[in-house]
Amino acid sequence: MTSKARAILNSDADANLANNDTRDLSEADIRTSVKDLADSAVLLKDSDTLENGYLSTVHDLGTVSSGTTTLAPANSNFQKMTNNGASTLAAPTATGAYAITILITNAASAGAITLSGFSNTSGDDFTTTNGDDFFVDIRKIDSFTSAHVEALQ
Amino acid sequence: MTLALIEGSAIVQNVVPGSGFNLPNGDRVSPALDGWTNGIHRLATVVEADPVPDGKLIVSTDAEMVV
Repeated sequence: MTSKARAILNSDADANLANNDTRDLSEADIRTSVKDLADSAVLLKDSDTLENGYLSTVHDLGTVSSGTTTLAPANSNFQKMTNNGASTLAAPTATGAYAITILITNAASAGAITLSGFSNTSGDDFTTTNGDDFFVDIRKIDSFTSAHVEALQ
Repeated sequence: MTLALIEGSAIVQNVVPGSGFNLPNGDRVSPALDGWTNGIHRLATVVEADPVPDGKLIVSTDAEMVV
């Protein structure tokens, strides 16, 4: 069978699995379509090699000016927030192994950020300079979490 | 200028303003700013002692009030 792009699968379905008014749709037609679909998909149960790069939607946490922010990987592996006051960025608690990168941008009233609950922290210190940006790379495997801060200016 | 990291009413350590520092529980905070507070921890400026008057000598920097 053949790995095909989504548009090709759709056009094949229209061409090969049309309404069966004349009863010429065979088991082989359906079997071929299902196998093409299986060979084209990335399946959770299979080890596979990705043939393309994939884009992510960035989850926007908005403006944070106080309190504690706990990142959830289910929102996205790429997140962002605006620092407009002293707050705490807590280690994620969701079970499983994952990585999250968060972009933090300072606003006019940016405050100190406390990295709380991580097994290890490393990298640059945050600033409170308006417009400064930081990547924080967070990883979690088993009970270990790390946060690495990278100043972007 | 130096900042004092205070836990409750006790000074834990001195901190350089603008730098990062660790709390006793391992949490990392940056930057160090006068007036920062988080639960039982806070930062306050360490006020320099007054100069010693001429003719006087410091014999101790500890004092205990006995009533």
